[in-house]
Amino acid sequence: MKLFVSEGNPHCLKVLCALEVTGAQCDVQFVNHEERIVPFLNRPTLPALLLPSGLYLFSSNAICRYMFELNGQESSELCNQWLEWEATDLQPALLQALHMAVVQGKGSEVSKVLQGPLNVLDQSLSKGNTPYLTGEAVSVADIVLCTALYPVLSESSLALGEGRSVKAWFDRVAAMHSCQSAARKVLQGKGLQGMKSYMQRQPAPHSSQCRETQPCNSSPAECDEGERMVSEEEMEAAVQTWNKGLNPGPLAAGRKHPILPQDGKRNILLTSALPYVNNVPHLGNIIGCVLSADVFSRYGRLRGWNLLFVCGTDEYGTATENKAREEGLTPQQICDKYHAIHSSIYKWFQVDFDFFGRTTTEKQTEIAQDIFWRLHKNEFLVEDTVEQLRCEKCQRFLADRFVEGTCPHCSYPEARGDQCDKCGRLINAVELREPQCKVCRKTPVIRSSKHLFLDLPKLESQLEQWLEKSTSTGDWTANAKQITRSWLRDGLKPRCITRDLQWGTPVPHPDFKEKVFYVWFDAPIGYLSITANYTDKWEKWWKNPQQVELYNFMAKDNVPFHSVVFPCSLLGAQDNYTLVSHLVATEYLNYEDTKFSKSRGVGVFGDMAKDTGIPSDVWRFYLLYVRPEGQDSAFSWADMALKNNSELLNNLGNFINRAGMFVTKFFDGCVPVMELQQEDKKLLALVGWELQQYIQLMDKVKIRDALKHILNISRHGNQYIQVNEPWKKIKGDETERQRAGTVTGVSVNIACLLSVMLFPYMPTVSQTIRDQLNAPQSCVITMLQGTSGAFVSALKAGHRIGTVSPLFQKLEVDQIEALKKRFGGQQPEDEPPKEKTTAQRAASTQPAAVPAPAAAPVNGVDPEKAGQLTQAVAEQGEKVRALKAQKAEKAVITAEVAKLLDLKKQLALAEGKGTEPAPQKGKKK
Amino acid sequence: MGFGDLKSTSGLVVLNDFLSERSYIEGFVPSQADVAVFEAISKPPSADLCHALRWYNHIKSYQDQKNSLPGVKKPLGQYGPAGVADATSASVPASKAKDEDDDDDFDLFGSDDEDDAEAAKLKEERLAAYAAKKSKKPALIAKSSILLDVKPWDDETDMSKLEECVRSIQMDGLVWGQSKFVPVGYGIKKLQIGCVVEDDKVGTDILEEKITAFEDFVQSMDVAAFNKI
Amino acid sequence: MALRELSSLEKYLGLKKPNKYSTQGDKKVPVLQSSNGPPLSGLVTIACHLVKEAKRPELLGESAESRAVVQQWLEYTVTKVNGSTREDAKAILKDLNLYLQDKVYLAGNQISLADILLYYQIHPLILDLSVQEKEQHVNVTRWFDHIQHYPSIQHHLPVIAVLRNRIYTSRHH
Repeated sequence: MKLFVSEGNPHCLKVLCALEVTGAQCDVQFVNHEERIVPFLNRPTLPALLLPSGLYLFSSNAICRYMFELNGQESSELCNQWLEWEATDLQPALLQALHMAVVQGKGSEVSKVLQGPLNVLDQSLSKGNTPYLTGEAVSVADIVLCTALYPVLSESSLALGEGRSVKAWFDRVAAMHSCQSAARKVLQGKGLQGMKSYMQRQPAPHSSQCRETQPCNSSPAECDEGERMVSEEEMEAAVQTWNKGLNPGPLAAGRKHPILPQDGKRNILLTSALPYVNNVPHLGNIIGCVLSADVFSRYGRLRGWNLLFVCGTDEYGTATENKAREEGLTPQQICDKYHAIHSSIYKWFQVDFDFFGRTTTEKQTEIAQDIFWRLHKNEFLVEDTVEQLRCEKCQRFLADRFVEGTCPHCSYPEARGDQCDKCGRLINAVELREPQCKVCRKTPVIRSSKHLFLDLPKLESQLEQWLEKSTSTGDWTANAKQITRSWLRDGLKPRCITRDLQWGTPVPHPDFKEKVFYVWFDAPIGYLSITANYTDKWEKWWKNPQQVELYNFMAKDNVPFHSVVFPCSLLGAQDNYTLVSHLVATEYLNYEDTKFSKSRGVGVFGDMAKDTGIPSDVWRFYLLYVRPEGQDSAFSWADMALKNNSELLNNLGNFINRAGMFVTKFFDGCVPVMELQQEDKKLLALVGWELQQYIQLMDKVKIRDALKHILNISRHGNQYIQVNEPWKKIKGDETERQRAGTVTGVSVNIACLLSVMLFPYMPTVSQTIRDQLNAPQSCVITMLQGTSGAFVSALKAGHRIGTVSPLFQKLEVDQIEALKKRFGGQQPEDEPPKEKTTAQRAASTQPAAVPAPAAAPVNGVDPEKAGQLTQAVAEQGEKVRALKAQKAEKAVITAEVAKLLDLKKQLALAEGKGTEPAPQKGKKK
Repeated sequence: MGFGDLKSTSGLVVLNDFLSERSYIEGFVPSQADVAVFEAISKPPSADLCHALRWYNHIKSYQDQKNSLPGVKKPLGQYGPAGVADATSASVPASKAKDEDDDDDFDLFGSDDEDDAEAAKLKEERLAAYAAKKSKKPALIAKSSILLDVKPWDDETDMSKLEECVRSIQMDGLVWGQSKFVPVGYGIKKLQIGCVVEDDKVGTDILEEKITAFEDFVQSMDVAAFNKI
Repeated sequence: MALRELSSLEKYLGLKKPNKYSTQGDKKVPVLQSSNGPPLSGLVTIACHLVKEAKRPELLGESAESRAVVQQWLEYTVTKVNGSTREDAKAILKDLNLYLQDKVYLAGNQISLADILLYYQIHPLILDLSVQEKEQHVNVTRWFDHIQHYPSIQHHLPVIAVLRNRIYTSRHH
């Protein structure tokens, strides 16, 4: 017998484990995924077992079963049942889950996919009350199911929330030596990533695809949720809520500044990481901190929390000095310039700060120096001499970011002076091997000078105490906890807080004149100083941990400074500072499939977003839809168009618009009388449930997950309209007209609820909807109260609505293609290969005669461009004819003709003509 | 009916063909019919006769119970495809049939079947086809209908000239058919032209070579469709 | 669907007293309410149970090896063939055609439960095939025709005519 397996193939886990458990006599051979072992199967299929008779088994379950049978353990009927369930129910879900987690990077959605099967398993295990699936002993069913689930259940980051019984059973079986050793062989200790190359070769599972792309309500998975059993009680409760009036309460009088903590209220201080001033932020920066924080602060205000949202630009440091030198300005001028750019970008994205300040202020100096003296007094600062890199050519000490070299830990050749991007470890610039000045590429020299250090080891136990409390009571994202843990595990070392620079907050200690604070020490103090610039009573926020909850929003690379270093500064200063209670960190957002990179011109930068002609709200929606929550995610133009067209246009916009149009067209703009029937009550309960999910998720800052529930509601709504067909019933008899009225009334009220739920995500659209519906402002406060919200009928019978118009516009394919090219950077390899028709392939190997199509207008006619192109086409035509006349090489002529064709295509585009697809060279038989 | 000479390759070819769509010689369960034919075969059919081999191996598995299989053995000439006679040398001893096949001076197409002549012809053809395949030479005049796409350099190429050039190609075994101009985009049209060729005289490679030789007009040539007639 | 197949199987097995079935979930998984013991769910699980009940263990294979092969094709039947799309169908027919080239039955030299269930499940795929496609998949077609004519298997499904007389003589390979 011979068993063929491949690394990273989850099915091979099963057979290797069974092999070890049963001790079957069998050779094992590792082969490539793509190797076709089973002669009669057209797709390479592994694992495969070559039987003594020469036959092949290609089903992992059959192989396991066979090995157990050889070992004298025939599988029982209960076993059969589990094996069949594994193959028909669990595997499809697992395949989809692995595809999401490994290929699409959507680990956070995995739990939804696996919830059903895991519940089945859990119920059965807890009912059976035996340690194993089929009784007291391990059977083939345990081995097969446990190893099938191993990749996902052993990956804690997926947070599947499996039931207790499943967990106990899994821990029991997975702990078996055979299982562990099989896992090592197949996954190579790389966890999910170990399966990447295998999963990428598998066809994408069907169900996830159609769910993503189906525009309206019929997608299977959502319907599953829709067909959630609704009990009588739920319906009654929903109707009761519905009938409650709007909360008359204090009408939103706007915020009264300065906002200060109030007794008896939930007081929330919210910060988003301070963007560094010397650059234009890209979409990753925006979603990572300010936009996420904005959504949460808008939500918090709707919830009636007393909330202050501050942010500002981080302006000190060598990078600024450098930029100033580059642009021939003073550092202060650079800061002023970029501060304005940042402000305007965030304004365009409708980020609603209570105060957007900056770190180059007197308050900053005052507060930073105060904290410094307190640390000094409390003896948490130590003095030491430091070896520092100095570039003799540039005549200055090099800030960490201005040194590059080889990482002393992992030998990554492009490590920065402060941190290695590859292994993530922090580095002392002098430890870098083969350091280079990033500006002039000269090798810097090491000079020593005296510096002050924050004695982190001395503060470690205090810090740990506080962390334990904060992380267990607050909402820290999993990555924040994990990064913090790994920092503490490595042990803390003293950290230098002073620097030999000019552009910074001066160190007040006389022995350290001419030095400034290191930015990592200085910048977080910016939160305090910015608040101080907002109000003199800033200490009510910052020295008030009893009353104030502090939320920090950031991307994950900023976590250590917020969870370890800055808290240590504040703890050591011993002045009753407010420390972070909830640390919300996002993962990275990739662009298409590469990282955002300003230097390569890859990606969309904040100031360009508005030039795309796509509304700010749609940008916000899509960025939040792909928010890297729990897993890295990717921005993709095609996906943005898809989500705009399917979710916003066809689902959400379609529903809200129809509801409003029915009121306008059939009921003269007045909300009709509603007499709720069973079906309506059921819908109210369903919507109420989605609302509750939304609130629970938002309370936990699961911004992306909560958004899905808004879209679910409009899906329910569309379905409801579709089934009830008010446009037909309105033409019927009195009862039917009555029914049309109820359906219309309920729908338009759902639209009103949606406008409120949308407010954090799409403030303009949200307001537009309420304007169109002429909805009372008080609905905003009423609907999101309590732990589950309240879907009340805000628009009573007789209410007159305003003018209804469509909310969203379709994003066309060519428009998106043009944008994609425009922001795709110069690297041809950034383009997906499928785009490379013959013409483009030729064009990319030879420099084009005219500006690349990158500059093509988004849509419509561009006469200037067309003129240029006409000229180019004529020239190129001449060239081709000349070449032909000279009887030039065929390959040369072909390439030139391809170029000509491409130019003509561009010309057609510029003239606004539709084009047929480029001629493609047919395959020869 | 019959398989020709089951001891010879040609007979096994007939059997193989017959079994490509059947599991058994008769009906849907193993029977004496299978036993009869099985016993007429001296050794397992070769691997290229996969259907015959499959059947052979399958029937072999009934070796122990071959006498209990249902049915009554009949002469070999009563099995197999219509239009082929049995010509198995030293016919089955078990078969007590008093067929003229038993005669020593056996006739290759020895059956008084009325289809005799046709059967003989078919058999001849099969043998010929088989032999031909062995020697890698098609015996029949195999023809194909080909549809060609001929692309010009640009929209300024004179398409009627181009067609003229293409049609000017004359070869033994080549007949030009209908043609039309099909737009490709940007005002460019390609020539789509059909032809019928004798497979062993005209290949697509020769055609491509000859057509693209008109390099003032032709940018490329592709085979759009290829059908054996 | 599954229930009709189970009832046909019962008839084939000659089980006298019909069993009570229900279905569960969206996928209409069959469930057998048995009088003694917990209910069984899943087409294959129930079918194997019925075979045992009818004391026809040979239908599940007579050696460990053939039992594994039978189980493999049963799994293939419910995971791949059941609910397959047009695209899937092509791949399935291609695989099976290659597999059945040197085989009369799916497992060993006798009929098994795998043949029976695969026949039930693949019926719609074969129904869809044109004459030419049937000829292309001559091994599957032969196997299918064989099983559909096997005594007392075909119950609820119509017989699919398989072309017997070749229009032209085939070229040998």
